[in-house]
Order: sequence, then structure tokens, then C-alpha cells
Amino acid sequence: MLGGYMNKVLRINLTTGEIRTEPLDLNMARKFLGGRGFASYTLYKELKKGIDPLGPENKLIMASGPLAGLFHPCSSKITFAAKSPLTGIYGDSNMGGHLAAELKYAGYDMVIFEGSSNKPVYIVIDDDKVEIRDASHLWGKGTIETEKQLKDELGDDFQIAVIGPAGENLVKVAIIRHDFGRESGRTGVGAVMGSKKIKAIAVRGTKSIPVADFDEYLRIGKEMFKSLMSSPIFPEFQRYGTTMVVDWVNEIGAFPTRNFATGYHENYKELNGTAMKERVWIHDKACGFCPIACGNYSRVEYKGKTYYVEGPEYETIGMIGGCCVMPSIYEVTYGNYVCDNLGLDTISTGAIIAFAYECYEKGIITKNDTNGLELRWGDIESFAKLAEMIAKREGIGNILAEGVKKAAESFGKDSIKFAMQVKGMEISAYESHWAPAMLLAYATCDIGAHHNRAWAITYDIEVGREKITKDKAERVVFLQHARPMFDALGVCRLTWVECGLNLEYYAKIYSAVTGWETTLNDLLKCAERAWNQNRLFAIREIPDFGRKYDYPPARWMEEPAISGPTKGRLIPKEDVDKLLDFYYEVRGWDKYGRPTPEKIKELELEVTE
Amino acid sequence: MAIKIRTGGLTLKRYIPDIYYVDIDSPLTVRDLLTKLGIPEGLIAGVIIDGKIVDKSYEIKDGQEIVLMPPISGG
Ligand code: SF4
Repeated sequence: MLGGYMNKVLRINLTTGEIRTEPLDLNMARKFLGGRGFASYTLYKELKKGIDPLGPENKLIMASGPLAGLFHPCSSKITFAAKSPLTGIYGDSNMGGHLAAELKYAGYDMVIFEGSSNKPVYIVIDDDKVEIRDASHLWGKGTIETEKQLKDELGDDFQIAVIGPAGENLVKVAIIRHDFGRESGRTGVGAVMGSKKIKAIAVRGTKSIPVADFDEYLRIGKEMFKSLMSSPIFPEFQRYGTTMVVDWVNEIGAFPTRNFATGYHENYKELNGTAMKERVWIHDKACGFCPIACGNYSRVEYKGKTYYVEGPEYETIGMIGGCCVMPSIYEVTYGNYVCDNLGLDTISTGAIIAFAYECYEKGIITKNDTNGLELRWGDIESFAKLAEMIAKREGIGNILAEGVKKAAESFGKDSIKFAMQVKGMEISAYESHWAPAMLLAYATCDIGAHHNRAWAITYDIEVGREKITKDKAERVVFLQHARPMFDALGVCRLTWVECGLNLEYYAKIYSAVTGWETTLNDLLKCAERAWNQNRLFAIREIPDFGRKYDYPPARWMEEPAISGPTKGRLIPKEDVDKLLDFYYEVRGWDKYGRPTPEKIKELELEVTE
Repeated sequence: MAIKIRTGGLTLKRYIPDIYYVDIDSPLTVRDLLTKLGIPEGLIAGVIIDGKIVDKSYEIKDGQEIVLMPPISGG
């Protein structure tokens, strides 16, 4: 018996209203595991080259993984994916919460949303009963109210994913949000959902997930829990979550401050884990099956009103607090609330607003462009107003809603040099003026600049930040396979590097669950396959795609960091080219950054027009 | 004086076991302790003593338990 998979894919066509199921392609399961692997394979296979990401030909994928929904640690991750409206290439974003498990219980490994509706709808997946329902009463509402209203209407046992006004208005940094605080935040998947006029997806299921060797599964699962929870730092990890790193990132000069002009925020102690815990934190929050509970639920007062939000986690502190130079955790928490409720990615929105502040400071844009709004670093009022203008595409918000790269093209005057993005997606919260491996990780990330795929900054510190060496490329490539492997399996990766859980467990548990004897190398091979598949997707879309799309912004290569521990540092273009040469060599790609025929053959990938 | 160190995560494994006891003769700061143990300061994301995050300049007292947190990739 094959376990782990539910053996069923659901297809919902929003244009025709047709709903049908089909058996899971087991060849795909073998080669791509699940989650983001399924998305890579399916989008490459089913999308025609050159389609409009916000048109009916694009498909939105919601895919769980073979290990999601079972009761070993942190089996809670789901992927949303589509051709990205932000980058024009393959895009995906992963979220925790309870949706991945519920989708499996409803009997599906993956849902493919096709076409687009001509009026707002929400989707109800209740085991085998699937309906497209009218959502005109929800359209225009914030994410919090939408999720709450649907919970009231349908019942608490439904797991719900929603978009906010940003997704409705096709803002290219719009998110899909679930469980009042878990987000598929990156690559604009929320805009794709909005283009199909899907306001929400509600899922409830009662089925069981098959497991091939249950006794063995139970044995390994228990061992994983024990190993994870007996880590001597487990209680502290639980207590502080990801905000713990704020001090450290400032000490090493990697906190993205003032639109990445420096890696050091003078008031970082006002933004760190202690500030968060003592001033805004109310309680911890966990995804399904997670003993860590790294999420924080917080409360903040602003202008006499009280707001509740899940967060802020490190990325939000970095991108709103650092990038926009906010004075304290209060402003960051309020900014977090504003973005979440509007349905905006806090990472991209932080980068976009910081870019706007800098353009204003330099006189590239003026009050005439901002409807009279004064833009100032550290001013939460203008931050909140701009976020709203972006979500509603009002005034200058309509330009900023396209992402920082398009905004720079529109503003001109060399602003592209400090538009902090790669491949059109805004860089997340690690300032890399002096972190070559981290810079390479951002430069080569398959979906545009994102830390999640390869978090290599500790490697820079371990082996020497000044080194431009092949081992850095090897490390980045390894991480680009290991971390996405978690996304494909449907489990959280924080158990691994942070809590020290041995990677081998995942091969053992995958074998016990599925009944397919699989090694860790096999799993990593699947992740490599998906990585190359995404590169082929980009090459099919953009004929000259390659090295020139892998450069970081000029700020990191030409303008030294202005203060802090990395003051005066930069990584010149010659060194970036050296890193890319090493990287392509390690990957088995040619010098333009394209997979060689041998590599394509080795990975058993098909290339289509 | 004797101190107990608790740590974990993959990054620090090659420098120090997850639980470690060390004897020191004179008072020293967390930073001195890291140097003594050969752990790069840049790999310690946080130091927690008595449930509170402290600076690396904190002077360690006899019998204290020190938690060394590895960096965590956030968000
Ligand atoms: S560690 Fe955090 S992100 Fe991972 S499953 Fe637990 S709560 Fe969710």
C-alpha cells in the first residue's frame, strides 16, 4: 500500500464552474515528492509559455505534501504556487497553520484552480462535496474580518485561506492568509487568487491518511519528538521564536536598515526579542503538530485603538523596523497589523516603502507624486497610509503596487541601483554587503530574492566573510536542496538547523509512511529536480534568462555600507561573477547559468516549448 | 567556579556538546568564555542567563547556567 498520499487531485475551473477529480500522478510523486515539487512539475507541464500571470490561463496550485497532516513534529506546511505576476517566472510561497492537514483529511494532495470567475466567489471543500459560492458579501473586506466571518458562517472546524483588498486589486505583492496569521507571502500568489476572483478557500475533511508501515512510523515519529524536545535550548526557542536574532543580526551588521544602506539599526534594542516579549506579546501560537510554537500573538495600541496581530516575527521586524527605520516594536507591530489585514507581504511592502522613502529623500519623487503625503524614515503614519494606497492602488500606490523593480523603472533617475530586488522580487531581511554566501543565495534563488531557500549567512561567519570561494557555492546549493525538500514534504524546516533534528529522520519517516524505500540523497535529488525545473520554466518564459538575471542590486556591488560592523564593505561585481561561476559549475549549468543537456538528462526532466 | 552551558542546533555542534560543564578560576564575561571555548562570537545569536537575554559583556557568576542560542533563520 502506498501511504502518505491521498491519491487524488482536485481541479476547479472558475470560468466554466466545472469541478472534477483525477488520480495523483504517481510518477510525479516519485520524482517531485509533493508541495512545491508538485507545483514546479505541474506549472511547467500545464502552463503555456507567455501567458498573463493575472489572466485566466494562469493556474493557482495549492499543494500539500506526503508527510503533512500526520502526527510527527511540525507536519503543517502547504504551498501556494503560480506563474508569478511579480517576477514573470515560477513563483511559490509556503505557509503553516492547519490547512495542509485539513486538505489531506478532505482527501486531496493538490488542488488546481483554473480559469477565472466573473464575480467574487469562495470555494468550499467539504470532503467530497466541493462548491463554488458567491462571495459578494466578503469582497472588499480585510483578511481578519473575512476569515472571522467565514468561520462564523461555516463553523470553526473549517480551515480557511483568504485574500485581502491587495489580492482583490491585483497588487503584485499580495498574500494568501490563513489562521489569522500564517501567510503565503511571497511572489504575489494572492494577486493570482484575486485575478480568479477567489476571496477565500475553506476546507474541512474527515478522512484518514494511509500509512504503509504504521508501527515503524510511530517509532520514528516518537523518536523525532523526543530528539526535538530534549534539545537543551528547546524552551528558549519556544519562548523567543525568531525574534531572538534581532540582536545578533545587528551585531554582525546584517540587519536591513535604511533600505539596506547599512546592516545596523542604532535603536535595535527597541526592536528585539525582549522588547517584543515585554511590550506587545500576549501568547505563543503554533501550527498543527508543532511542539515549538514559534509564533507570537501580540497586542498594540495605536491612536487610542487596540489591534491584535500574529507577529511580528524576525522578517517583519527587519523589513518594517529596520528597512523603514522605525523607532520601536510598537510601530512595527502596528505596521504588521496594517499589512496583514490589507493582505500585503510585510517583506516586500517594507522594501517598497523604504524605497519610496529614499526616493523622496533624494528628491526623485516629491509631494506632487504622493498626493501631498510627506514621506519620512521611521514615520509609521506615512507607512500605514502608503500601505493602504498600495493595497487600493491609489495615486502613487498604483506604481508601488507593481513591486520595487517596476517602480524604479517608472521613477527613473538611477533609482534601480537601490531598488533592492533580484528577478523582480524584493530582498528579505538579511543585509548582505559583507556576506558573499548569503548574497549568492539571494542572487540565485529560483523565485527571486528570498532567504527561505538558502540561509547561508552563518556559513559566511564560520568560514570567513571575506572569502569568495567555491565551498560557499557548494553550501548554497546544498541548502537550496535541503530546505525546499521540507516544503515538498509538507513539514516545517525549523526543526532541523535550529533545533538540531537529524535530516536522516526525513528519509526514514518518508519510507515508513509511503512504503517506498528512500534515502536522504533520493529526497535531495527530488529537490534538485524541482530547482532545475523552475530554471527551465524561467528560460522558457524569458529567452535570454541566465546570468544577467542573477545579479544582486547595484547597492551591494557598488555602494559601501554606510555604518555599523560592515561599514565600508561591499562585494564588487568581479567577485559576484566569481561566485556565480562557482555556483553554475557546482550545479552542472553552463557559464550563462543554464542547465546543460547532461544535467537535464541526469535529472530525467523533459524540456518543452 | 563551575558553570553549566546549555546549547543546541546544528551550527554549534562542531564547537561544543549540547550540555557542557566548565570550571573557571576567575570571573569572566560571556565574551571571554566564548574565546576560551573557541566558539566564534558571531555564531551566538543570544545569551540567556536566569531567563533573561544578556549582552556578551555580562560577567558570569559562580554556579550560573548559561544558554547559548544559535542563530535562527526567521520568518
Ligand atoms: S516551528 Fe513555527 S513555523 Fe514551524 S511548525 Fe512550529 S509554529 Fe509553525
